[in-house]
Amino acid sequence: MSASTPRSSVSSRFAQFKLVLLGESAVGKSSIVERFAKNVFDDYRESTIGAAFLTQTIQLDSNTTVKFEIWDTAGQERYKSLAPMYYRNANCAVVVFDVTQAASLTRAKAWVKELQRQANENIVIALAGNKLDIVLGDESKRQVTTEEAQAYAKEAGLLFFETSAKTGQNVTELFTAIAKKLPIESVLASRGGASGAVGSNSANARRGIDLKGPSTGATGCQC
Amino acid sequence: MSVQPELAAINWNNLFAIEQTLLVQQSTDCSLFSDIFSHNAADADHDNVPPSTQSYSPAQLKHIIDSSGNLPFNDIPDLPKSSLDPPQLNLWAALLSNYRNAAQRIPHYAVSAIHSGIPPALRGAAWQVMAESSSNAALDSLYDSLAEEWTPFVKIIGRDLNRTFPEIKMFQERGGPGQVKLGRVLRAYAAYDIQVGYCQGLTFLTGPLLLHMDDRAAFCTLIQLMEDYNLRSMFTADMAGLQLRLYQFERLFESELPELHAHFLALGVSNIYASQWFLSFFAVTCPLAMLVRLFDLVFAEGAIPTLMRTALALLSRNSPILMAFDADEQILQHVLGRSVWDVFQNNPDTLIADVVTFPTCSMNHLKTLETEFNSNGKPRMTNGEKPSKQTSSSTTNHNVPLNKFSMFFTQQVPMAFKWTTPDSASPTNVEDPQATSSTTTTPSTSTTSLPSTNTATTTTTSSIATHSNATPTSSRVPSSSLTPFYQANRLSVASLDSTDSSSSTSSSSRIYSGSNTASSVSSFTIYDGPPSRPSLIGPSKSDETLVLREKVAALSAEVEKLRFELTQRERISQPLEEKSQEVNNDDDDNDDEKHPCETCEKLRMELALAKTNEALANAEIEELRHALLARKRSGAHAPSASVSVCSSSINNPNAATNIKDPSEKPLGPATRGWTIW
Repeated sequence: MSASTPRSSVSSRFAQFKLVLLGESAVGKSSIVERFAKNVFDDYRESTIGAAFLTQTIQLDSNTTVKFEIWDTAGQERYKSLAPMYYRNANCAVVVFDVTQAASLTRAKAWVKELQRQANENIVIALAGNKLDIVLGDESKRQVTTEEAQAYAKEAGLLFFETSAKTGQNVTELFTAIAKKLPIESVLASRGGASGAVGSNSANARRGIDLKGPSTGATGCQC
Repeated sequence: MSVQPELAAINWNNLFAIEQTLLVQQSTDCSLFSDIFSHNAADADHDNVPPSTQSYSPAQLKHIIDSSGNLPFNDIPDLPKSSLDPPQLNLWAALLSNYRNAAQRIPHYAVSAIHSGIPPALRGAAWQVMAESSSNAALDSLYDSLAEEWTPFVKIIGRDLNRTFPEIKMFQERGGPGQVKLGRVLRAYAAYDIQVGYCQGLTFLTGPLLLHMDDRAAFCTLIQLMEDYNLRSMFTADMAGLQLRLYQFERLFESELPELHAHFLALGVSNIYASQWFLSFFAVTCPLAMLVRLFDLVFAEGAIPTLMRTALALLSRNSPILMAFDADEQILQHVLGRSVWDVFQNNPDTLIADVVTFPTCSMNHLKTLETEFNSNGKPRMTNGEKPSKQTSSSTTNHNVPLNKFSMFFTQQVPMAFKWTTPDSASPTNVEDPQATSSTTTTPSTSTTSLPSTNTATTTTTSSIATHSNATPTSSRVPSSSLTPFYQANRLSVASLDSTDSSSSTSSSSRIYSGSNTASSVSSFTIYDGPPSRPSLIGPSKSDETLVLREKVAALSAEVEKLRFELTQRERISQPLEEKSQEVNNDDDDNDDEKHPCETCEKLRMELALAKTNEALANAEIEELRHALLARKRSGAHAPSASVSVCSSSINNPNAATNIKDPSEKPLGPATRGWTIW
């Protein structure tokens, strides 16, 4: 919990966004979030059942703090029908595949398609090719080339990173890039209007006071 | 070793004396406990169920406890040591030797003992006698072959084995005995019930069982949990049952903890967090020492009431913390994390004491909420959000409680089922000793494709395969619970049937003409459209129901036959396939996988078609039953037998069997005639 406390004392702008992680089972969604939120990696992770929830805050620049509320979903195809409950109000999404599993990219593409059709219109989507550490150790294990994924990401208008939750490579970069692409300015200007997930925090109010979850549609701090 | 005389045999006088005391004290609430039995009272067949095959003397139990030091459950952290005084040994000897009998004679004593926690060394045996899973000999004998069977879920099960209870020694070692057993149980279950197959969450349901019993027993007990204890509908392809449970929970939360509920609403916290709780039965976060105590309640008092009570107890005890939060994220993080259990300070007794104080989770109340849910036809979301397309469509189709039909079919189909092998000399059947026994339990085939399949077969095949996926061989699932995808396809197939039966028939024949099986073509086209479709308002509905049921049975026989042939083929092709898969190195990572063997593919198509026919026949039966029920409600005269089938089969399939044909015997201990909530 302490990890998620915004460093609001130094920031004059605070924005909060809802992020959802999607992707095939066992590609490393939970590991990416754990690495991002707690900077740990556990070889023995339980499969995610239903969904897990975490938050993490990043300092975008000296006066901008972005907080992510992260829904980490279960990957089995069957859970597909539950996914809309989690991505419904998401401002951003990380769709994860496993660079050593070609089929997981196919699944990722399907998620991207679904998000682009069903989720928020302005949702920021990032594609993450995880388990980079494996192919760095043994390139023959790679089933999805960087070029292929990159080309797809470009075509579909996605951010793209190859990540390793195990070593931490590119994980923070991934979330930072998403934060930078999020419409902080416009949302701050509209004072938590449309997307409802963002509020300004110049009063350095403590967490939660001026922030409402996106599903309430409530406005942020009116300072 | 000399046996203390007081431990030589069960002393009923002592048991009755304690029961009397507890009865006078009125401190033990037996309502849920007796619900299970009263639910069952009308079920006369249970008088015929022999008592547990094994009788225990108190001394034997003492020996079991004393020699249990190395069993897997000892891995559970913070588990109290089992050391029982003679009166407790006496009680557990009575309960384990004939649970049903003892539970009815000394309910207060039994409940108070179960609430205090089943002694760890006896837990596995107790869970089995409560679930009546050990009496299921037919399933038991099928286990090995089912566990070896290929299903589309083999790979995903494999991926989850290393991700279940990683903190428990038994499950830690990759490829170690714990993971091997877990894999076998789940693969066997997937083969047994293809409509569920494998769903993430089942590992967490199975893990606690494996800590207390061997894998064979765990398999049988898992089946009981899924079927008799009604957990199954949460794990089917559309997870429709989960929506029902979330609805029931929401309503109970609202009425039991209104202040907290209002707080959640105000912060926009919808109850989707509970999907993690329900699908894993809290195992994702609940410390195991507490979890096994919850399982004690599950087996004694029902799974769904325990699911609900635990969720309420958890929220209630955390209420001060949760009320202090002023953001949705804080609440979500708390309720989905391990810290939510901290309020019980690692004391299972506190948890259980809290859980059993929610008597509103009675079977009747849950039933009422279920009816409400069904009539609303959609899940109720806490923050007024509309359910998504996907979820709403799947739930609106789930108008009928799953189990009334599933129970109906588990009982009925095998009853009417005559196992005839057109070519009994076929090597398939001779070689496969499981052939006959499987007819009673009708394990589903494992070889059909799934929805959203990427198989190389034609569109037609995959749509047929979807049908088969939606309806397992034993017809344990009514079409009412089928996925929307299935429903849509069913309509198209049905319309094909009704508008042009000849084309439908010929298409079946075409597929089968290439078959090298000895099965007769006609059996696949039994359901061939209007000519054989009985009128829903005809006079002799019960007869027609019977006829249809026989058709179902005939189709089931064909399906079974195909399944065995398929299994044979697969045995031949398996090594080749494994090799090719190794070469591909997991490149096809969907839940379904291509099968390179063309013959198998063809057989699969046949199988799928047979299953489609079967599903359609089942749909017919269901329609008939609805029509009969409607007639009964409107007061119209209907054949009494069939009306009884309709009304009583809902909760009492055995009664239905008896009314329909008194000469038919129940399946005996191999099937459960009663539904536990």
